Amino acid sequence: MKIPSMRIMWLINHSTLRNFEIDQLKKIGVEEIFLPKKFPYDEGNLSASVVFDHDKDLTLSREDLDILNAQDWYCEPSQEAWDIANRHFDVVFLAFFPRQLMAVTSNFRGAIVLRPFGLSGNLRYSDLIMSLGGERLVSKIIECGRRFWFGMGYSQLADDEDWYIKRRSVFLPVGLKDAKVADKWVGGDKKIFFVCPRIETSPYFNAIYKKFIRDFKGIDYCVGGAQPVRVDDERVLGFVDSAQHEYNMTQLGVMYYHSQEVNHIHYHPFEAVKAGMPLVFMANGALDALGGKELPGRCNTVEEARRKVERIISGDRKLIESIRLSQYVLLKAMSEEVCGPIWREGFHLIVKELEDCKTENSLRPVHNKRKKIAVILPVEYRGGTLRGALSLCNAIHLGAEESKDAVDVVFCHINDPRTYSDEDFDSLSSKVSRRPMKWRILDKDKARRSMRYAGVPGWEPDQARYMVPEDGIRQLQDCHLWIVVSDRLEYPLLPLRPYVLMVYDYIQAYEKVLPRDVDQIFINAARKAHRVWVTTDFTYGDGLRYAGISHEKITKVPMLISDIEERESNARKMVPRYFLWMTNKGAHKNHVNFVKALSIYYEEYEGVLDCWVTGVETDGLRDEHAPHLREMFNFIDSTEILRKRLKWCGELSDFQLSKALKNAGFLAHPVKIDNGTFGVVEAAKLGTPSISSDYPAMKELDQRYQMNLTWMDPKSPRDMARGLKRMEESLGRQRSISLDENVLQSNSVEHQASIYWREVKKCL
Amino acid sequence: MSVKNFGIYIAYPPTADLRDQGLGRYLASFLKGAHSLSDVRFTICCPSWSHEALDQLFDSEGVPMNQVDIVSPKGVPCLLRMFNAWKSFKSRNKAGLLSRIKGRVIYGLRSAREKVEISIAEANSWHSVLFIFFFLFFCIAIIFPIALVFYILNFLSSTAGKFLRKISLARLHGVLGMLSSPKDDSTVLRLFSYMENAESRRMLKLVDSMDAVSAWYCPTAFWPAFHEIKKPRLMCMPDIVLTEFPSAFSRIGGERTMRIFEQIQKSVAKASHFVTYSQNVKWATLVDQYGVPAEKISVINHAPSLLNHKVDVVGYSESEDISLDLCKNLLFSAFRKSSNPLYTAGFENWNVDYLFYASQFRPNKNVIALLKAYKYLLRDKYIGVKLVLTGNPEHAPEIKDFISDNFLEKDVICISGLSVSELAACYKMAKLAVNPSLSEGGCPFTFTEALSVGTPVVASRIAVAEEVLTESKLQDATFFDPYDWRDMANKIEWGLENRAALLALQRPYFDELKKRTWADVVSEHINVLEKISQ
Repeated sequence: MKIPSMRIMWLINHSTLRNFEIDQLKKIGVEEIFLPKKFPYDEGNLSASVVFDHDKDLTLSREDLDILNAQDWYCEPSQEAWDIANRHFDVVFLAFFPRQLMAVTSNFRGAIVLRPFGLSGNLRYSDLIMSLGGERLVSKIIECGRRFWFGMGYSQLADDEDWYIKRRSVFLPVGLKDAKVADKWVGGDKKIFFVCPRIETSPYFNAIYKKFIRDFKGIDYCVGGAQPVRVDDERVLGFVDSAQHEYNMTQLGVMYYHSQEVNHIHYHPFEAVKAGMPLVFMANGALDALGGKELPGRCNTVEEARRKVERIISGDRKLIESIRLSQYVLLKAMSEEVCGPIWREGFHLIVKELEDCKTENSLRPVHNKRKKIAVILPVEYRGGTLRGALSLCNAIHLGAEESKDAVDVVFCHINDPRTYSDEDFDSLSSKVSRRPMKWRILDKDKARRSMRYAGVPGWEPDQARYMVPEDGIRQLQDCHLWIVVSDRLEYPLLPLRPYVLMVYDYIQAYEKVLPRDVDQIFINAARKAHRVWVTTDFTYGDGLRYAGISHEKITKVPMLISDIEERESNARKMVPRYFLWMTNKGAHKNHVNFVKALSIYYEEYEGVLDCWVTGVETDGLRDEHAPHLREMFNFIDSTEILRKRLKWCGELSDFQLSKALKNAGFLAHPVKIDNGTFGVVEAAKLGTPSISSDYPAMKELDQRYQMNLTWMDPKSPRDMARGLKRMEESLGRQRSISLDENVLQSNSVEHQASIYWREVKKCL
Repeated sequence: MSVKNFGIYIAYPPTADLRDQGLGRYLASFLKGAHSLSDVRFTICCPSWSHEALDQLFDSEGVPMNQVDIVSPKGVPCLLRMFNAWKSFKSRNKAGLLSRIKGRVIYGLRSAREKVEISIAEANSWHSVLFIFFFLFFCIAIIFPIALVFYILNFLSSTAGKFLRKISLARLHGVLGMLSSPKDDSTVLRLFSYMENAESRRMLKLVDSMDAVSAWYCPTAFWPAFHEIKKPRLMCMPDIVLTEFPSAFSRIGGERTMRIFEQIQKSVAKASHFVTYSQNVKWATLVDQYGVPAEKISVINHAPSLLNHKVDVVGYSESEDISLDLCKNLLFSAFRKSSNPLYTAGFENWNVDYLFYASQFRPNKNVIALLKAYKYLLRDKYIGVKLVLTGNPEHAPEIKDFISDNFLEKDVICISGLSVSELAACYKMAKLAVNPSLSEGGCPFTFTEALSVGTPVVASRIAVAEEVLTESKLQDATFFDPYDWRDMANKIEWGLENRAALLALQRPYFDELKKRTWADVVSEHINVLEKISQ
């Protein structure tokens, strides 16, 4: 049965396979076939090549074809390319490249045919999909439903696979286009021809090569197969030109095929059979199923193989002819006559079910399917992190609204009435719902069951405990994506939903602020996330370097400045009698160095301004036992001037803070390292300048908001003291600064919302 | 007229009491519905251990049996007989032999002492008193050695027990564990699994011999063995809530629940034709999650569940008053089944206003959200209604803790194990019925159960409910967002304030819905069975 007016994307570059399968498609009546023009030069693709021959048959516009040809279809093609693919193509074929598989299952709306050709040993595709693509890839494949096919090259490949693979299996046999014996073999060169690629780059093939050398010691040999790294053995030929290849196939004495893999077979034994070269092969491999069980070239032991090879090399014509005359059955098993009808029948099934799916979709009841995004604040953060999370919610909601996408945003925070009151969330958009939650810890048995119930077969826990959000409703399972604002997760997050991690900094790379084992948990959380978002180039670099996150996973998103107009105090500016120091108990806040700097500022530089201290939990700093805080208070207690000039304001409300900032001479930011503190921006908005430690994230912030910050060395109390005195002296000249309105606007939630929504959409 | 013969396959494990299972009542309703179809016969094939329970269930539910046959393999397996015997033994009076003897002796001594005291008090001569004392001395001389022996025995017994517990060999511990709580023991579970498999094979032989049965129906997806039947088969898939609440259900039932889930998956993989109660389960679960072709799935909605026949009084001029009086008595008996008997035992106000939610406590039932909404109404809005629930908080620690942490024990009344009459009374006496559920297989029964006795309803806006209650005005008045407890509270508040109007709005839709009967449900099943038999 012919299937005209169908376009296929055959996203594989294997030369020999292409010849056979394109032929089958043409026989069915498919005229338009797109082939990828790029492939990764890696070890799995050594038999690959690019052809442009079929482009002329494609009835796409030149522009569309150019876009398709420009893509690397093994990575992440552009959205534009996928739009073209979905508009014009009905079926995609791909080989087992997990990244490609993820991209195709996430983006393509037609039939998807994965072409597996077998794995070594007891490996299963289900296991590889889970280990290389994670639960997300498993979910994507399941979501494809009846559009997804496990188009196995050998009929037994799905036998041991998980249900979501097994139920979608169809046999598309691997065939050879020209499976006829050419019988050009002469065999004058008395050597074994053994094919073994990647000897120096693959431990698997290296072991095979070494075994071959041992087993056939004393017999001359040639080793064929691509060698990305040169092998120190002149008999290993590496890449050969067509003339050499012709010589090998016609002149070398015998081919030895070692493989006893049941689920995979290489092409070269068939090339030998085609050429008429005698093939000596090991029993119990894939050749047995193709008619090789009774062949004289079959050997049960290596000793038997060696004996037969020796006989052939020494010219035993009887053996040679008995092998040559009988081994053609192997070629027959791969021939068009045998494989072609089965292949075409399998493809018809794929096409039929695709049509059924389209019909089914037209009958599907219309249901308003809004996506739901959860933004989770995993710890009882207040201050800047809380404001950042609320701004994030507002940005996502606004961005979706602007794109006219139907989305609900849910903000989830720890349910702790001691930490949060309703007023803390006043800046949250009324269209974003709020859901208090807690974390529930599951042991590994419960974690495994959860994942099984969630429809992810094959997931196995690699940790003793996992955490899941408990909102008292549906454990955030009604949300399609979780965005976790901070990587401070005490246990691994059970991946019941894909999650994005917003990482603000990796301070622990610079300051000893975390125990090692705890730090590793946070790093692992980032590595397992679907995406990691950062807001500065500095943290981006730390994410790549320190956390070891892949660059494809990490994205820099704009910092969001929360709208503090409503917090702005109406109080008149007074003559400044103090400067403000915003801090908290974190070790990176540089308490000890700064109080030493204050001591120098007052005692040596006769500083006139008091220092008002404020920040989250600063009320209770004296009760903390952390060494850096004890050291700070010991210093303060022993320095009379500090006892007099430091005023501990505690945590101020937004109104009180804006009033304090407005009337301060300046804001001091002596932090050693972090992701940039928005306090300086808030101060600048209120007309108050700032002096800051000189570190990369603050430089980025200064550049972004053009605040002309004054800098100091956080490691040097004296330098900081000088800086404070300079700020005091410049009060007359630079009492007030103002931020460019355009700069503010361009960094506002309203302006950045579309960027955030675009990033969220990539994850859905 | 030729009679169509269809089979129903039931394979509950031995420990399941069908009267407690929703499926049991569903089956009873189904067969009662079939009674009006004179050209249909059903043959129920069940395990040997379920035959008697099914008989009792149908008897108690009033199912006419003239069109129903129940067949099962002969003879209950020996393992089950041993298990049942052990269960009976365990449930006997648990006091040990020695303890019983001790108890009797002490009782005897007390009686004797009383008699002696009376005798001394009544004695009117020194001879009588002397005689009594000699008698006492004689008794003590005899009893003391016996008591000493008894004491030594008791001491040895408890010491040996402590010693055994101390050494606590793993195997001994395991055996003791197995004997004390067999349903949680993995060895027992395995043995039972083998037994059930063997019983399935026996049932299959029976099924294969029933040539007259043209097609088979299984009302649930728990039993993959159903798909070994060679005749056309139709399997009902109510829902798979585990998939929607994976982490919550991971904490319930452990590996036993996991095995049930795996059974369901196997059933879905093997089934050829399906019935669901809703379009939502058809498309969202079977088509989207399991890749089942839509054409293989038929949607057959429930018939409404009506309760009025349990509380309606007819033939009297004051029928409604009598009915209310009846309901108060039933409410009284229902309250005696509460989890807070100290409070409810003396409860007197049978005109109390309350909200009512009839459901077990399961993760998908969204009870915590309802409790939050209720607490807000009670404590912030000062709306003085109680909340009556029918789940057992002992099985739901979060619910129990919420009630306790918020001092709601006297306002949230949890009553469980209700009879159908008590249930009907609870609905009738309620100000408002509420259903906050997040996931169901079909439209929740709450709407029809409540309205059948004249109580309005507010409920979650979920796809299965929207499928049945389709009219937008009705939806706006009835539904709330189950993810937003404040929205739920607002709707409840509105429902209480506008009870009469809500009832007036909902009643016509209820009248329309109740036209659908179980006979309709059965007919639709038969249509599908006939179609697949062709």
